[in-house]
Amino acid sequence: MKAMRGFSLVLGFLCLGGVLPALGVRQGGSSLAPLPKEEWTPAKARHLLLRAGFGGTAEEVMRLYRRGLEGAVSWIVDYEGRPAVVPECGILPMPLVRREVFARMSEEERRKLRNERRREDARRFRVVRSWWVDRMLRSRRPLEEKMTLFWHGHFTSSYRDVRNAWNMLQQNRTLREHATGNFREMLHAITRDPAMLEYLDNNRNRKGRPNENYAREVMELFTLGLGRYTEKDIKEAARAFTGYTFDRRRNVFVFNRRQHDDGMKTIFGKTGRFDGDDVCELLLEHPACAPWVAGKIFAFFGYENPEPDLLRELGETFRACDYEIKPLLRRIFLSRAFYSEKSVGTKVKSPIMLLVSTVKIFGMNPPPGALLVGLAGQLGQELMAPPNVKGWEGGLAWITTANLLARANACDVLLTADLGGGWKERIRRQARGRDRGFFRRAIASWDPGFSAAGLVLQAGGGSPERVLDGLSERILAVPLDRGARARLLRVLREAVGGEGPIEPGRLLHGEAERKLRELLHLLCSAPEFQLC
Amino acid sequence: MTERTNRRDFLGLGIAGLGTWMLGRGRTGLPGFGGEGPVGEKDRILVVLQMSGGNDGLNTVVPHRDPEYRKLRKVLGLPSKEIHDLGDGFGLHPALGGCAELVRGGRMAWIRGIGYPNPNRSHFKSMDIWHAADPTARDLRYGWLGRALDEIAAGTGPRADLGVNLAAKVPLAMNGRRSKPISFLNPETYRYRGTEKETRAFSEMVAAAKTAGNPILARLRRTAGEAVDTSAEIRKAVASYRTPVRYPQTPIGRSLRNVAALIGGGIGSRVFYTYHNGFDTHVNQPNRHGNLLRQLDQALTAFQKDLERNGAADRVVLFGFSEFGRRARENRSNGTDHGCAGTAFLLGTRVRGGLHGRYPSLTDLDKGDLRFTTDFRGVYATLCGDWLGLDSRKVLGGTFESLPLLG
Repeated sequence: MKAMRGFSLVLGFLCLGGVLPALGVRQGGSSLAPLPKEEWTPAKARHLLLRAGFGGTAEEVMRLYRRGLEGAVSWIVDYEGRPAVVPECGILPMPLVRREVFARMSEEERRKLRNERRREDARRFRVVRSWWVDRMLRSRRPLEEKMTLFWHGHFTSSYRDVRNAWNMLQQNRTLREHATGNFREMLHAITRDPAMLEYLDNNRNRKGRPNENYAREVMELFTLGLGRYTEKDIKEAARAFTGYTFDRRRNVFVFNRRQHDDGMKTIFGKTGRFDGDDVCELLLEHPACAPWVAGKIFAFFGYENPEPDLLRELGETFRACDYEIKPLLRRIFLSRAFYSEKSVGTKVKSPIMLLVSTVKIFGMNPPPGALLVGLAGQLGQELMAPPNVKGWEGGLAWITTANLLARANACDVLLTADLGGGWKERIRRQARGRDRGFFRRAIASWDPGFSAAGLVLQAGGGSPERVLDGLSERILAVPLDRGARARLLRVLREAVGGEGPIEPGRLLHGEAERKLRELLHLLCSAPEFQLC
Repeated sequence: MTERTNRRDFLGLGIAGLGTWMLGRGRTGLPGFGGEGPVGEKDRILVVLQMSGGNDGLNTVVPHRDPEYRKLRKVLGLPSKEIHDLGDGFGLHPALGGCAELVRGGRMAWIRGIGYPNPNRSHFKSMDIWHAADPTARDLRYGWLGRALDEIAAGTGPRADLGVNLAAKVPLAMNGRRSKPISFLNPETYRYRGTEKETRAFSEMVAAAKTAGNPILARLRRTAGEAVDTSAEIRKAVASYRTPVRYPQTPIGRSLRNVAALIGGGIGSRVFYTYHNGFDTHVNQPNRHGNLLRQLDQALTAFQKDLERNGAADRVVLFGFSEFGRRARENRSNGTDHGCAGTAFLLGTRVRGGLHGRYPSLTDLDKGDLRFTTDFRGVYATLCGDWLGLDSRKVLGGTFESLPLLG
């Protein structure tokens, strides 16, 4: 019944589609104007859940759809009422080695200790990354995790340089705490974040010996964009950030007054005895800041290179609410532009998005986070170790020939982990060397609790054509190519033993289940599945 | 066993697999082999071998008659009588007998004192610097070989710009703006994972799809098509390769055998990337370093012999490098710590054999490390410009004089 209501709404949308342009209402979607309520459909709810979170089952999509457009956006954005239901990460800072103890050691003992501590820290780092992916999989606040992922790509730091799992965790917590809060507060917090101070060398930025790394990136990448400032602004700002460092033993921010350059500085034409926090305020006052950051947020959720009008509106919105992130997100998720043709199904899933959303779309029990961390790494995305300070390039940069096959194969790992016999053997063969034990353990401990037959029956049964279309709609963000569809129909017919309506009796045996999984694997290997 | 699996799997692809293979050949019109006529720049191939971990240059090309060497390497110093002497007081590590022969035969060049300004002693950073060809390591989106492949794309055959990386992950060096390498550690795993029937269904599903209006989807389809295409082709080239040359059963031996197979099979690629890992010899260096160099020696001699046998030798140069050399003075754990300047080598019939580059002073050290005398970007310029025939300034983002390393 409810599906029928959705269907009639779609019809309504089609009718309106013919009338609205005649009335001169802009349909292209290049504006933040809200989507009319009557244009809200299950497909748009699916798009919202996929982009603002990591996707979900058909049932979850329908539940979101039934909240109506505003209700659905509220559910996504106002998540504080719901607990995240993921326990806090259990790791602690590395225990301190007392200076006297270290001083008494021989060089050999020190080297040994350093190596041990490095290994132990690497172990803790694995725990931190797995915990984060666990949150993506389990949290009932999908937007919180999606925004944390966004900020990780924006205010990037890498474990390769930071070499301290605890500080990486602290940064991740800071990004999450401010994920949908206030950008002003976030900028101040990240300026004092130990991992960031280490990553961009501000801990080496001292009076008389300025290091410009943070000053440059905070302008170029975090707030203004290239070309909105002069080299002089960077030099002066670097002086203002001197003395912003952290205590290596306690892993907390400290302002070292003796290393701080207290002289006069001129930045963006303003002069004063600025410190780092003053520079943050100057950046926030700069007219380029709000459009730059809001545009980047829109590009992450909607589409790249938003039109100049749209960009202006985004900047004005962000500025008008004094850098509150939530109102901006709400406007984006309510906007016609977000649901426009330019937006839906036009983004390449990042590896971690691909893996987490596959688990969620199929409604599998969450696998161990470590499994997805490892698979994402094989697909080119090492969480908390991006290639450079710009974060990941994204988009088509994720796609190579080998990567496309590897993405399909990673989905195969998820789809066949619980199947016995030769299938498990195949997984073992695939993983080599050090990965082998890791995959074996991760897979052995995971029961996906997933049934392909169940999914087919939920898709409504009926003729093979109807079943395949139902599956494609649930799994793909764009329609399946017709040629590909014809080929997959052959696979489905074979799986269910010929033509005619698909009934439970024809599916509920091991052979059919295996063949249906093959079909799902093919769907997940289609170029269409790479998009969201 | 792997041989058998390979063949069965390939045959399992059946008509579809064979079809794409034939199609690929027909479309690309690959040049023939056998070395008839002069070798043009457009037929030349570069194989890069990364020695990860920081190879101890001082114990690779050894200044064994220098008393300073004896002082710095009291325990690790290699006895002169075991060194493969190449004259002027220099010689190769005892495990590099085959390489010494190649040097004497004018097929191998060793470059001493290779490095870059403001050296970084972190594995990752220094490796990034070599990959990006940028001592500031500021922009790490593209690597020097990726940029070279981008330049190649403009001219020659369709596969010429396809880099082949023999590891699971794409190294920064191979990542271009347009050119993205294909990557596999084992050709057997560069494939769609599934039964033969599923693989066929996948190939056919990809082939059946029409180009989409959506440009991103169109690009995805094109890439999927190439994946199906090259996956079968590469596995066939490797599975059907026959050579009397015995390669060592080591990772580097297998990699170089695969490269020889792909060159011999006419895959069309002009840049290959391989690895020899484990050079981070902080402890117990004599055994570990000796084993690593022995494996290198066996693999390189087999590779060169094989290429000379199958007629591709004049078209191939292999370049080996490491992210840094090691500390001049040995540590107290029977090993060496991270250093700066190191050694690199070129292998091939077109290489000007011998020792190149001024040897760094063993007394004028930079924080205990050798100072570089040859900027590695000069070698890159030689390989990109003189060997591959590209505008090396475009690839390296600056002018670096090429070195007289090629004959």
